[in-house]
Amino acid sequence: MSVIFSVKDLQKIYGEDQPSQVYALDGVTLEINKGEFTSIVGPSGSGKSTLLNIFSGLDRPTHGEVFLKGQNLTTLSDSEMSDFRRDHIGFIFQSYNLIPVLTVLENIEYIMLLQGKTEKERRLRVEEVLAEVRLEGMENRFPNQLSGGQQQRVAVARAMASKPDIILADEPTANLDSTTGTELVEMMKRLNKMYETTFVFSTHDPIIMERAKRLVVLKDGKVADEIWQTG
Amino acid sequence: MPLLLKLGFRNLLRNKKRTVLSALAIGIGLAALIFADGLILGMRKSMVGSLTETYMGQAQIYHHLYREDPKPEKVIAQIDKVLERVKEASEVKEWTTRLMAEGLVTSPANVLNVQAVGIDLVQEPKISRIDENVIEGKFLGKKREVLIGNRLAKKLDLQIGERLVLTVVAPKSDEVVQELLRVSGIYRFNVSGFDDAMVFVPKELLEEMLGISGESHELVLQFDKEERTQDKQSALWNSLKFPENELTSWRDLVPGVMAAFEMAKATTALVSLFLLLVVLIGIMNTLFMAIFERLFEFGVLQAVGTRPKFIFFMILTEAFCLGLVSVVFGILIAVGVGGLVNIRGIDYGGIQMAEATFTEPIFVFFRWQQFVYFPLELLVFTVIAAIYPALHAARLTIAESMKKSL
Repeated sequence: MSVIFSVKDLQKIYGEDQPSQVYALDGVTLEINKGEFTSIVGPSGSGKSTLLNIFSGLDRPTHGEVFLKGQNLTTLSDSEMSDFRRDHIGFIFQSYNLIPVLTVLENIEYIMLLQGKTEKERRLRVEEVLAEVRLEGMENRFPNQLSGGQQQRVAVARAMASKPDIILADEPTANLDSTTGTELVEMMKRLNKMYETTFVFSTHDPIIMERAKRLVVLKDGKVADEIWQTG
Repeated sequence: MPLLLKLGFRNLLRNKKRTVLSALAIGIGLAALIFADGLILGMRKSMVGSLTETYMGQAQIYHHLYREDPKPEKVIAQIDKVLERVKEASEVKEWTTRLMAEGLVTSPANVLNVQAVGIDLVQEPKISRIDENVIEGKFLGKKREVLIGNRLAKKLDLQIGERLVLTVVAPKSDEVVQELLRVSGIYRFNVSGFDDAMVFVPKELLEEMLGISGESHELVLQFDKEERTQDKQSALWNSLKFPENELTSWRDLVPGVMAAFEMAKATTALVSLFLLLVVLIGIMNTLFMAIFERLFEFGVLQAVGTRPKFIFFMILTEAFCLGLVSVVFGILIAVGVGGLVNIRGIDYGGIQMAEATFTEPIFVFFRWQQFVYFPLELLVFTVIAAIYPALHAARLTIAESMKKSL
């Protein structure tokens, strides 16, 4: 399998100029292959969030490099980074990640709209992804008219809509009950298998951890262990 | 609908109470602007109306030296030709001629200096309101009758039907001429200089007393539009000009009134500016509140690839939409309040201001410009007010916005 994403000797130091420096990440080197279903796990303060922020270009490392499909993200300007995220990275956040004033359809097509896709292209793709997340007929509902599980499925649909190279998900099941959470993770797993979309999670949730092909265990800002799982 | 407008309007609907309150506050500012302008226009109309329709007319023609030195012999040159032109001009709605003389009135109680004005009994009521201002008795009807002001009547201790003696000097013969006249009516203009020092007599009587026949000192004109007094280069204005005469508008006769309008305009502009500044700060406050409430959302938007520029324009559009709603509120409030005020008008009756006296209630005067230019100004101000909050939102770092982020 080809490497799609890699970080090399990543360091993130908070309070660099102060005597009490905090090493959120300390020399993390990691490669993620196309089509992986990977979970970054570890105790609170281990650096999971920081790592995912840097993966996605939402934050910049103090040292080290981040490559996605051969592009060094640390060299991009803010605007270039915006465009790169729009075209290559899908996001699923813990909660409140849909635009509340837009309908399901509008939320899903939002990124495609930014990409300048035609209305026909957008509508076709929205239909496809809505079918994939089994939310047909809900196009015109607003987020507050959906359950938590449905909202997260819309978030998955939005993340999938622009066919990104990688989807980064931050505790996507944290606000869901276990049944809904399991359904959501199963659905993402299915999409991962069907389209070979790469998923990287930051999570504490055993439901995700059980289903991940690979667990990257972080401790004190370092990769403490990597566990490959079957299934 | 373009995405930005859709987001703008829908974001406003997220917190309806706040939007309504903000739009009301901004709308009241706009309504105040429209109302103040309408009131000043109404005041101007009322003042100009009382000035020009009561006695002065919109323009007057004199002998070119008469106003400087009002001697009886300085009559309007070529009066017949002038009158011919006046009658030919379709823009001239009404006209009248007057003869004037300094004189003395004598009653059993007192002797006083007055200005005697000989008026055309047919033309004068068409152009002035002397007849309408007669509060006792009646307008002139017979040759040897006189109209006196209420204050003069009091000083002379005269009642309707009683007699006074008018004394003038005939310019040609230098002889003192006297006439015994019966008081037919007492008028009240509520303007000093009129009510205590002017008497009106039939023009033919004064002609006879002064020994001037068919002449006039003053030709008073009323046009179809007041605006005709503005353009002194117009064909009409030129056609009424004669070398030995002076044609002058009410604007030149009572310059204080125009100065008062200019001052009122400047004051309104200043107050408007302050009002718009208050509105500007109000809008900034509202937008900042809306931004701080949605920090996470801005983070999400940026995370999924929205450029800061788009967020900047999103806030500007939101402000523009708020401005549009405010404009609707403002116009409704202005029209509503103006309509209510206009049921009776604001009564300034008898109050004198800058050489003019309000004789009628003031009504708020609306014109289309108030409903186009002021709202446009407000919209521009609203968008300007949104620049700082929009820059703030656009410059937010994603990590800052999403404190509980990835």
